[in-house]
Amino acid sequence: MRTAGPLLGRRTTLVWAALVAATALSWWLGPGRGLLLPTRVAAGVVLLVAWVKVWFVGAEFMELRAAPPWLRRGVATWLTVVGATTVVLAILV
Amino acid sequence: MTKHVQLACAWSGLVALVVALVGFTVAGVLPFPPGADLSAEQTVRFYADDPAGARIGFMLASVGVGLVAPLIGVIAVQMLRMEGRTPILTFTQMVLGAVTVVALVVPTIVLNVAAFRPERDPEITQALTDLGFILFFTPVMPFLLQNVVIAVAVLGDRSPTPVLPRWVGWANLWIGFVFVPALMAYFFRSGPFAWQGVFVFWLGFVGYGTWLVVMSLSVRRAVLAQYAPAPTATASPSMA
Amino acid sequence: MTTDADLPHFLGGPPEHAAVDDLGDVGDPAPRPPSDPRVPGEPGLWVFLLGDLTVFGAFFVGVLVSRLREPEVVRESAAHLRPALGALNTVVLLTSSLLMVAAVGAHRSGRSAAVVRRLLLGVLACTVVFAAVKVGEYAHLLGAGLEPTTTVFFTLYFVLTGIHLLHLVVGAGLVLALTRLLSRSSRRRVALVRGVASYWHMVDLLRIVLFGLLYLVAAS
Repeated sequence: MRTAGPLLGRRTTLVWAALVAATALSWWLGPGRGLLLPTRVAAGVVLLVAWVKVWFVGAEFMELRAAPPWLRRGVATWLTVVGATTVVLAILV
Repeated sequence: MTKHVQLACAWSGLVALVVALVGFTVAGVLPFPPGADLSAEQTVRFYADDPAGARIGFMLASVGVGLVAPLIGVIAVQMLRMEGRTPILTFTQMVLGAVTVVALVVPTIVLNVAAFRPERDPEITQALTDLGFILFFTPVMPFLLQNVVIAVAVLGDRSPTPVLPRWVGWANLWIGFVFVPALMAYFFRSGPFAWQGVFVFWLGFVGYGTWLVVMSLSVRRAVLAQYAPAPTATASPSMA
Repeated sequence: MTTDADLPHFLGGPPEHAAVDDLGDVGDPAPRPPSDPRVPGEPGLWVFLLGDLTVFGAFFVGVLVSRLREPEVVRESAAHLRPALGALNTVVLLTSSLLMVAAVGAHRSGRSAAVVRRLLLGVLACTVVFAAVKVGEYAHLLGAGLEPTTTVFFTLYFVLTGIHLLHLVVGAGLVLALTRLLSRSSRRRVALVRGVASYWHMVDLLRIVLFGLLYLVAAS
C-alpha cells in the first residue's frame, strides 16, 4: 500500500486554481463592474469563459482526456452544439 | 407460442406510440396543444373549429395509449428472468405500469368529454380541458418510479449474459429525470413550464416516446435471445 | 415451446440464474465482461449523463430565448440576484469537485479507506454550504416578493436552480452511500467510484454554465 505522496497532482490543482480565477474574472466582467465592455461582447465573453471552464472540468476532472474516442466525440459534440448556440443567442440581444 | 406472444407484446409498445401520435395530431394537440393561458371562449373554439377531428383524435389517442399495457406485461416477464427467486421489482413494475396506463387513458377520455357538448357553458369546457391536460402531464411519479424500478433490475442483473443491456437501465434513469419538470405545470399558465411549454409538453412527449421505442426494441431483442437455439441467455448457470 | 422451464422459480420452474442479492449495489457494474478502464464509470452511464446534459442544454437555450423575447424584463429581474453569492457557490462546487478528484485518486492508488472517506466527507461539507447559500438566496428573493411566477426570468431561475439542487441532493446521497460502502467492504470498486465522481463533475459543470447565464448574462 502506498500512503505517501500528495493527494492531488500539481496539474489538477492548477486547473482548479484557474477555474476559480476564471469564475472571479467572469464576475468582474459581469454587469456594472470593471471593464466597461459593450453588453453584447461582455455576454459573449462571459459565456465563452463558462464553456472553456466546462471543457476543463470534463477533460481534467472527469478524465475525459484519456477516454476512448467515441466518448470524447460525444461530449465534444454536446459542448460544441450547446456552447455555440448559447454564445450566438447571447450576442444577438 | 410464448415467444410469439412476447414478441407481439413488445411490438404493441411501438403500435401504441404510432396510434397515439396519430390521434393527438388529428385532435389538434400535436404539434401545438391549446394553451393553459387561453380564455374560456378560446378553449371552446379549439373543439368547435373541428369537432369531428377532436372526437376522432382523442378517441384514437385513448385506444393507442391503452396498447401500452401489453408492453408492461412483457417487460415484467423479462424482468422475472433478471430477478429470479424474489421478483419484487417485477411486481412493482407491473403495479406502476398499470397505473401509468390508467394515467394515460383517463385524460384522453376527459378530453373527449370536453369535446362532447360544444353548446355547454364555456367555463365548464375550460375546466374539463384543464383537468384533461393537467392529468395527462403531471402524474409523473408512477412513470418515474417505473423507470427507476426497471433501471434497478437491469443494472442489478449480475448474469454474464444480461437479459437487457446495461445502457437500457441508464436510459431509464435519464427518462425518469426528463419527466420531473412536468410537475411545474401545476404552477404556470404560460411560459416554458406551462403544460403547453417546451419543458412539459415536448420533454414529456419526447421522453415517453423514447421510452416506448427503447423498451419495445430492447425487449424484442431479449425475447429473441431467450429463444435462440444456441447456448445463450436461457442457459442456466449450472452448466459450468 | 411452453415448458416448465418458462415458469419462474416461485411458480415451480427451475432456479433462475444470478438472483439479485444486494439491491444497494445498483451502480456496481457487472465484473464481466471487463469494461474499458478508460471510460469513467461504465459506458452505459454516459447514456444517462449525455441525456441529462442535453436536457440542460435545452434549458440554457430556453433562458437565452426568453432574454431575446423580453430583454428588459429579464435584465430587471436578474438585477435582483447577487452575483457575489453566485460566484461563491460556483467556487464551493469547484472545490467539491477538486476533493472528489482527490478521493478518486486516493481510492485508485490504494490508500486507506479512512483517507477516501475523509475526502468524500469534504465533498459533502461543500454540498451543505452550497445548499445553505442557495436556500438563503431563495428566502431573500421570496422575502422581497419575487416569486417563480413574478416574471419568466424568475420562473427559469427557480426551476433550473431547483432541478440543479435536486441533482446535487441525489449526488450527495450517492456520495454518502459510497462512504458507507467503502468503509464496510474491502472490495475495490474503482468503476463505481469513478461513476459517482463523473456524475458529481457533471453537476459542477452545469453549475458553471448556470452561473454565467442566470447571474451574469441575464443581468447584462
